[in-house]
Amino acid sequence: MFRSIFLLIILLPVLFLFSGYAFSQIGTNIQIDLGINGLIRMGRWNPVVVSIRTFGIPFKGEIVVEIKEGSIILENIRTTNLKAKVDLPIYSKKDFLFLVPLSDVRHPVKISVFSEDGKLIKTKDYEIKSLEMRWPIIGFVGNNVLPYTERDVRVTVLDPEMILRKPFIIFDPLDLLILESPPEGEMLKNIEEWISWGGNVIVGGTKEISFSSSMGDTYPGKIDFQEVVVDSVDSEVVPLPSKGFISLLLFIYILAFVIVFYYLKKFSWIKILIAILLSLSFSLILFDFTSSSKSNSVIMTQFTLMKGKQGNPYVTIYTGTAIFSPYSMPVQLSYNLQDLVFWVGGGKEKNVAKTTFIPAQNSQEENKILVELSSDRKGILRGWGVEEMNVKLGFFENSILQLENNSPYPIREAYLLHNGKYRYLGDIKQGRTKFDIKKIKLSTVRIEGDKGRFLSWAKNSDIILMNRDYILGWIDNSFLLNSADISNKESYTLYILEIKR
Amino acid sequence: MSVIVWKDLEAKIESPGMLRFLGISIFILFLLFVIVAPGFQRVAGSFIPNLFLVVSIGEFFIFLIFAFVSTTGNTLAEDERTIRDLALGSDFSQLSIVFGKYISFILHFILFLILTLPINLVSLNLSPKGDIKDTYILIFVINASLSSWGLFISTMKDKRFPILLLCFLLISLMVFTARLSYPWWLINPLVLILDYHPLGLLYYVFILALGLGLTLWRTSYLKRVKDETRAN
Repeated sequence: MFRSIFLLIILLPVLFLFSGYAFSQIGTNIQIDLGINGLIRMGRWNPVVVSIRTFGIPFKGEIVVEIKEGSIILENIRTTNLKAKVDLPIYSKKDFLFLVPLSDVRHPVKISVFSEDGKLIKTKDYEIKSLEMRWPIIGFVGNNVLPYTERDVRVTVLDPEMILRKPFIIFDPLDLLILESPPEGEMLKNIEEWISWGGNVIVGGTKEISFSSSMGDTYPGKIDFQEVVVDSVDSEVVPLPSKGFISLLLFIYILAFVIVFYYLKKFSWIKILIAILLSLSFSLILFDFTSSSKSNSVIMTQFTLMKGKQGNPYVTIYTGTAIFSPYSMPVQLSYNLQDLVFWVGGGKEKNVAKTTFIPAQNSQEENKILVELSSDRKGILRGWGVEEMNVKLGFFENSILQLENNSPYPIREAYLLHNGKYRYLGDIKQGRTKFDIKKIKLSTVRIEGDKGRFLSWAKNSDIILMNRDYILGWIDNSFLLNSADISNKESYTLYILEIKR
Repeated sequence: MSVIVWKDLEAKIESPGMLRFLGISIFILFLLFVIVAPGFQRVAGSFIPNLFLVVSIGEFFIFLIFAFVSTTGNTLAEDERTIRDLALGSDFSQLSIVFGKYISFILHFILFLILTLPINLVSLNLSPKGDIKDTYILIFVINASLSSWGLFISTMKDKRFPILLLCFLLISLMVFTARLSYPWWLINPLVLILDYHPLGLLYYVFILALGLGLTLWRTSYLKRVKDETRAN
């Protein structure tokens, strides 16, 4: 008896441990992380990483990241979702990366994982209320001890792997990045892009660090296009199918109906059959004629600024997009630039369409944005990013300006803004181009339409300062946002290169 | 029952009065379309009317009138025999009479629905939003339930007072139930057209069952009166 009890006491914990191990091996392991090593920064883009590991059973489902902005009292709460489909085979692991701008401390960030049949598997709410969220973050890459005493600042040690093969914007929560040794290859490219975006980096050997946070909030961002894109899209004309033609067809249908029932002296069943056939054929013709009206009615205006500085091979991209349709319909947009992020605009605008972001989880996929338009809700998007754009310039003998455009885009209708005056340069093609500034007459920029409106807005918003020198020009691009659903699309990209005096 | 269905349907389709009603109804819908449909081009952000909603509300009232006209008596189809006529003047069972008349109305109503399909589909395509399936289900259920009360009225000798009473009740229903709390507002058909909720259909299923039950009871009573008269 005593022996049996003893055996049972020994066996029970063993059984318990074994079953715990066995069940963890069968199920799915889900880990959710917000921020860099758990540190988040308000007013910046923060990474959300959902790691899913499968064992003996494959996993299919969906990850949903829900971010709320706005006030309950003012009734302008805006919910934005980021989604990713999960389809993992057995014994596999994948990290899903989402970039989430945090700007509103009032609402938690909710991260949920659902199974294929919509059942909630795991959820995590992050309350964003702590004052600490505003303190700067220093990221340190290396093995040595950081020569800094932590005060009103947060310090974290980063894994070098984290910097590789990720969009540069993953560093956005950091105010300063300290590298033990000079970066190389992909890491160097990522860091250069981040510096172009406004990031601060210190590379090894420095004993004393005087820290100052010069990087401002990247979200909502310095440049707000909302007003100009909304105004522009509101003045567009929505093409609708001909009312006269549809009315005429309907009138013919009514006439045919009258003829069939009043003048056809046939048996009732035949009359009913003819009436039904008549109705169905007119329904088909009219439905077919008007079915494209919804897809043709979507109009989109996109303004983009590509802002660079002399000597910097990168430009910072700011873009604003407004989409409108008088009908309730979803519109899917996509973009494939890795170093570009989009978010819903609408600090002032209350009626913003519900927007869902589906970020690409590998380089083969495209980032997708789903905007649910309706007559009273516009799609408003804002984008930020960095793009390689190498334009070198030099002055010779004070009158010859040489431009070397090494970018993939020719710059059209370029102007030189010098001493507060404009000089028309014409098109700057790829390769070297020389301009004799003395021969070029001074002029004022007179551009009609949306281009002119955009240029005036850039001047009025102090993006172009009259006491500085710039090269201004237009780039024909449609690479920022693509959509097969939108046929009426206007896209303008203003390139601004600030010249060092 | 099939004899009642066929004869009733034939009387309705061949009736000039009923045909005139259908023609005028479709023409009214056409006029609604011409007045409300958005023009060739609009500036983005300007007001675009919800054509489908306007046409749906118009259709709702037209079908409502159709349900009463088609079931309460032989006002438009002169050759049609009412439930009272059939109960007192034929040997059909009460079930055959009531369900025969009801099925004939439903078939005629479906035909009318099909005839309005081109206007509905165009309105749907030109409207900011709308769901044709929900609207058709709603109109069908409401009319199918209210028609049972029309059939009940058709069992009476004097129809004017019950028709007036039913119209008064319907107007009261549409006016006074719109601002009731959930789920009581779901009884209002106009609110249901604006904001469809399948739970609202339950009220109308109940109204339908009550109407059909009363009609059956009344038809049985008329049959009994006829049998007693014949026996005397």
